[in-house]
Amino acid sequence: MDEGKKRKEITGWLHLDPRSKLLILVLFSVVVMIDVVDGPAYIVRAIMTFVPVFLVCLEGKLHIGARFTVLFIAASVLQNYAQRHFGGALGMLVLFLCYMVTQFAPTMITVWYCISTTKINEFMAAMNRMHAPQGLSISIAVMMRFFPTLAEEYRSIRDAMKMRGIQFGGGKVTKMVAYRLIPLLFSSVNIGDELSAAAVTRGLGVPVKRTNICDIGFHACDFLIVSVMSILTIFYVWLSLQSGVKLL
Amino acid sequence: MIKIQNVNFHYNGLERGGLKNINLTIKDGECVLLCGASGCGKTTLTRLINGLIPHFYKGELTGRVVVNGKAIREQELYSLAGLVGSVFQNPRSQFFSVDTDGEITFGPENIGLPKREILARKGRIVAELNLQSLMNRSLFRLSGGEKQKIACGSVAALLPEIILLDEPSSNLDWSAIRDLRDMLKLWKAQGKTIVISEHRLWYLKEVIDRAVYMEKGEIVREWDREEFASLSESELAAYELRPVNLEERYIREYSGTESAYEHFPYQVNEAPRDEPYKNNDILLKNFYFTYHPQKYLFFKKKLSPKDAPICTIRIPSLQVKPGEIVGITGGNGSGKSTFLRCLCGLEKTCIGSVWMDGQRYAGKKLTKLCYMVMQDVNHQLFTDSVLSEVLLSMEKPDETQAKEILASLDLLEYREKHPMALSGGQKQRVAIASAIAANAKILLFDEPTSGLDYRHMKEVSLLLKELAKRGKTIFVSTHDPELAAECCDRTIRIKDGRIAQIS
Amino acid sequence: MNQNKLQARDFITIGIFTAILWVVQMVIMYLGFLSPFIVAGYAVLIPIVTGIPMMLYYARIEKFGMITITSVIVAILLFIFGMGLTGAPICIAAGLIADLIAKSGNYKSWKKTFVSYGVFSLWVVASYLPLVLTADSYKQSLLEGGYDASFVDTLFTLVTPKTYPVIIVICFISGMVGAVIGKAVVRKNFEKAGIV
Repeated sequence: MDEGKKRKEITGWLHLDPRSKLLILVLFSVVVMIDVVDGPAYIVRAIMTFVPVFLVCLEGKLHIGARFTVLFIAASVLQNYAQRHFGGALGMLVLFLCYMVTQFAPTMITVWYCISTTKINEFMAAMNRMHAPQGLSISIAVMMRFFPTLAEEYRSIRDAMKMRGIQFGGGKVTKMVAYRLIPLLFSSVNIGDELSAAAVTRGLGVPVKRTNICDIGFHACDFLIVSVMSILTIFYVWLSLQSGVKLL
Repeated sequence: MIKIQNVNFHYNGLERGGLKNINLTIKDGECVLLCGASGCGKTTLTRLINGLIPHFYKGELTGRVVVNGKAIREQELYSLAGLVGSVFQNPRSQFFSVDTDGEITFGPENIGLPKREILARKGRIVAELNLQSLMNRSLFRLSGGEKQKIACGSVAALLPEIILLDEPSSNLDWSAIRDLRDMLKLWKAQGKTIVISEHRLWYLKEVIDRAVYMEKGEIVREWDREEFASLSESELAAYELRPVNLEERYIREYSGTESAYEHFPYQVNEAPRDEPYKNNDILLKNFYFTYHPQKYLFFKKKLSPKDAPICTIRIPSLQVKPGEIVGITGGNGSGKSTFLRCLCGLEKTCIGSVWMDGQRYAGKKLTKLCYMVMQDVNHQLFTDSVLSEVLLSMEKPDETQAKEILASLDLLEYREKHPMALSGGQKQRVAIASAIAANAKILLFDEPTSGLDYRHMKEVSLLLKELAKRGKTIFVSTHDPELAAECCDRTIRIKDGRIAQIS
Repeated sequence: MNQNKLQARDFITIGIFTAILWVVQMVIMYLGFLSPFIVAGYAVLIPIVTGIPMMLYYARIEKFGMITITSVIVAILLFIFGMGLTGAPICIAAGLIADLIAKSGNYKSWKKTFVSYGVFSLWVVASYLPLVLTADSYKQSLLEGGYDASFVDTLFTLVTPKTYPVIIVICFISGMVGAVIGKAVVRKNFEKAGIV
């Protein structure tokens, strides 16, 4: 692996400040909160959706960006069509599936982008700058680190279930849940204990001001992306107010 | 200097792992090995020194532990951070960051050192421990050995005077263990005090100054380096310890750096076949698999033997006799585990098939034919009692038969216990019991002896032989040369997903 | 050592269990998009299923603040996923009250734990609130968007300003039920295995 590629493994070469990412998330959540189905506001919303997709593509994850784009456009078109021509239960199902994609997929991809490109200590530095309590930062940092661990553990458990043919819990929903959740909890508790022991022996929780060697700060691209997103958000809110959507 | 005086310890609510009347003094710069069977209290002893006992693990503690003049009991746990560094057994669970750089600087950042000092230390540690190639990586994509190296680096960055290692080699392959040994030598040369609790002894014989042997929570014997290195195999066997001196043939067989193998001619189109194919043999065909298939937007390209150059696993054919124990060796990342996963049908895109008794098994049928006992057996236990675990695997639950299976594996007395309450070896046997109950004909074992002591390793090997005698065909992937020598009818060396050698 | 102050170890426990809580509820959310009935059923399903990890979590809590921090993190996540503004403050309030209730039982009393978890579960209905408060305009926009009128009606028969108090009560009761089930599972598995 060459040097340039390696550097991409986590932060990506765009290297946005974690606070910019947070701001993008917040702006995005405002957009998601206001439900608009058509009109010019919808177009603004679609444009905003593709900003994170563009960012993901910039990090070299072209196939993810491409997949999302195809899925999103297909869902939007289908939704539009289904609204006019489908009725009954089938129509509902299609509408709901499309709604799920158009409504939540943009947030998912944004969250995924933000988490996967942020190092834990960058995040801690950003929280520190925003004067968040350290305990909260540690908890959230552990949570961020734990999502991939949960995924890893779940994959192993699912494999083990496949080998024994108990993925469907013998047809019982309670067993389906229990066979997944209980082994997952056992691993989590073990990993949690070992992680705590390792972190505490390396001085986590020492009552001195924690140093942070991460250089975080706003750069040109931060300003560019944040201002683009802010302007779009304001525009979006204004447009939806015009079309009579109540804010809340 | 570490001084442990008249220490007794008992974990709350646990029978195992307590300590009785421990007296031990470790001089500055000394390297001490703690050895003994699982549950003898070696790990507990290390926890006395790093303060996890009594501050983290609760229990009844009497006696005094003094490290560099500080009584551990009166210290806050965090104030020991710069003094005692600890490397733990499981590489997966001891990192806090998601990236390697952040992990190295984690400790110094915690204790609030100035930024310039931290960067200087990081540079120094990376150079000393040869971590350059691991920098700027995601920790989730490193192998166990690489993670363990980062853990060592992370501990070293705090510049502790004392370093504790708790079974650090459990999940490591041969070459990673040698890297670990080099690190230990470096630390020793820097004058650090090292306490290491370990089952695998061969890599430590030149490093340690003293070996302390424990049994049931007590210190029973001590040897100095010369005495320890000259212990004969029978003496070690009497203490149930693993060999100190490895035979040359192990090194040749497992080191993988032997130049003879580098030039081993790969036979891409035809597997090495040592004898003519017989009808009742088991034939593995077309095991090709890759983690990075050519992707179309939503679908992956179906593999065919022509894709061999891009495959992680490329085994055109392999035949084994029924009831044979086949050892699979090779370094980390050579594809051993992946091969086992393909063999029991967990990798959907693998096109391999198995011929047995004139029938062809592929895809989902493989999961019925083969059963894998995973390295982390905790993932395979789903129910709240050993008996129901076995019943779960049966097509038609039959309690009498289940009890017979349990009895044959010495598990009958534990049938009402929770599988998670058992020891590691017992859990492994529960997983085997459910494999037998599921009527699997081929059993796969992924690193069954990693982290096991001598006696348990022996037990596993006897068990495998017993299973083979009952007609099961067994594939066992292992780093453990002793296990392979003990029970395998033949071993297959895998390199880059190909069969490099059959012996 | 100040035994009542949260230590690094507690923060790690918080992070881990909050991660589990969030992942489990996300899974249920996604199942829910298949039917409007399940959407309304969140108030029952989420408290009951997350009862299992949460009771294990409660079993490991000895200090004040852990449940509150969990609710703060959940509120942040709710906000990011667009259920914020009204949902987030209620979520934090529910967490704080739940924490106080559990504290009054010294984190040992099971009765108080059940009530505490019932209150904590109210974060689930908090995320409904926008739907209720903006019901009319939301309904209008759905109809304008071409959604089937009967479907929109189905959705709003279950979640309306009138039924909202009922949903709150149902959610609270489901939380208590979830706590009882979770406690049983913890006893049957984790206590039996000796890790609690």
